[in-house]
Amino acid sequence: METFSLVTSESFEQVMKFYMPMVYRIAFTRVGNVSDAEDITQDVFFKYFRANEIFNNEEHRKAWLIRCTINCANTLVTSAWNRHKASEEALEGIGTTDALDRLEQQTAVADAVMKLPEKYRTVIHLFYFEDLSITQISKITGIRESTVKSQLSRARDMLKPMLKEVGF
Amino acid sequence: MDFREEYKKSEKLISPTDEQLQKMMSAVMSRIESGEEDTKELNITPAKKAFPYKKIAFIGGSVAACAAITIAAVNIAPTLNNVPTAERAGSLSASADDARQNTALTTNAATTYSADADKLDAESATEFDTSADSLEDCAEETAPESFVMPLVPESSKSNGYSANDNLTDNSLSAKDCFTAECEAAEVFETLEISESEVDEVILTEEPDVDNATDSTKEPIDDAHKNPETGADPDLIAAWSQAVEDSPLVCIEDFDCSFEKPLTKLEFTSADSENDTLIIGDKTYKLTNHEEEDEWSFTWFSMSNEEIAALPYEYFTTGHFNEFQHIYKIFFAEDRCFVVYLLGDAASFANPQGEYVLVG
Repeated sequence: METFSLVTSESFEQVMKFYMPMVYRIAFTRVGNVSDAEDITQDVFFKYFRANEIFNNEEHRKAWLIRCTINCANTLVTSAWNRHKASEEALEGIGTTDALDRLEQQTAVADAVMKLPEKYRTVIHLFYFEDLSITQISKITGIRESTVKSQLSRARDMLKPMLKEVGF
Repeated sequence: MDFREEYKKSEKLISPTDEQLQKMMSAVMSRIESGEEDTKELNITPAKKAFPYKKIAFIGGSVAACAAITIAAVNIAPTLNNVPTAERAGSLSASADDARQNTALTTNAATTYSADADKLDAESATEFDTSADSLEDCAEETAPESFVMPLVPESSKSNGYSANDNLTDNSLSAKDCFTAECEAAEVFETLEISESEVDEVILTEEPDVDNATDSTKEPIDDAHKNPETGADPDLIAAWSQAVEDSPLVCIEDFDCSFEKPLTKLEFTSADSENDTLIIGDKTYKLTNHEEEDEWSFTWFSMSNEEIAALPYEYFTTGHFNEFQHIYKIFFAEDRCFVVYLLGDAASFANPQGEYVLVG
């Protein structure tokens, strides 16, 4: 993964360039929706700018951004508007978004991950894609390590049959 | 298959395109330039869990329920020893059966009640005679002459609780005598014949101040006892005098309102020879002769005159038989306060010797 020095990170735009894909991926993994993921990403960086936090190192900054992303996604997922929208989609039989449809066609792995329940998707993504350790995930998400482990284990158990179906 | 590698291959699918990135960056910058206020608080810390009121209430309720059951059991257990004898229970159940038979319509509660009342009156009158006779017999047979008012005869020392257990025995035990005495006092109240007689006694007897103050050690002479009511005129007179002379009459700082008195009472220890009774910020010395027993305290919502007019048995038998070891009676404002010894009557050796009057 590309390294990022503290010297160059002083520019807000550079921080956005570097971390925006990560924030977007986490948001997308969480909400499974492009437009919502974009909104969350914008919110996160807007909050980042307004907070004007001083970070000890890049890990600290990254952890702050991931935490903020998860919280923003949770807020959106649990909002009344989102619940209303989700119920409408369920009634109409539209279980997935356009992006998800595209994922289904292109890669079975990403598709399988997106089919997991929300809380498992985030943990799987942080562990396998962002390469965070269980301890780091625990600290960032505020979940106990044992819970993270059990969520990972359950997510793997859920993924196995789905991946078997597609020949893995 | 390495899941991590496979999953990372899908990076392009879940990552934003350059167009999306530019769009989002410009949107963020425009929001910043427009001076948009972030009204929401920074939501970077997880929401704290709500205080578990329900869990605490559940645990607290369970503990309170257990405590209530325990306290109830502790309070009920001693009273079981004072349950009327088998004879008494049998007669009551028999009267209840008679009443049921006599009243064809059991749904008529008023009729049933009056029938029960008639039956019980008749039973009580009969039992009064019986118990009075048995009491006299008991006093003659078992109590030493030196005992003036043998509420618990000397024989109860040796018999102890075994007297309770031997209810089927035909011999008259100390417990039977005591129970008979309790019943007699109940009948006094039921038949309402004691008050007038006691009033007469009070009017005829001169109050003895010396007796009232110095009767802490001396047993009361049985010869003065009213043969019909069992009330000791000297004692009653002493109480009457105590109402006027007691140094404890004025407890200025003691709140006698119904809710508070007991909360202000403290005994420094239950086993010391010189216990102290603390009422509010005042301390009173008590002499506890029964080291293993516990002093307790109660009070009556009666006027001094009403209390003074009551016979000694009113406190020592019947409904108030738990006060048989009255340690001290004193009056404050319009209340009568009684300090007494808790415990089963049969376990006490010599109540007379420990009896202390006000002053």
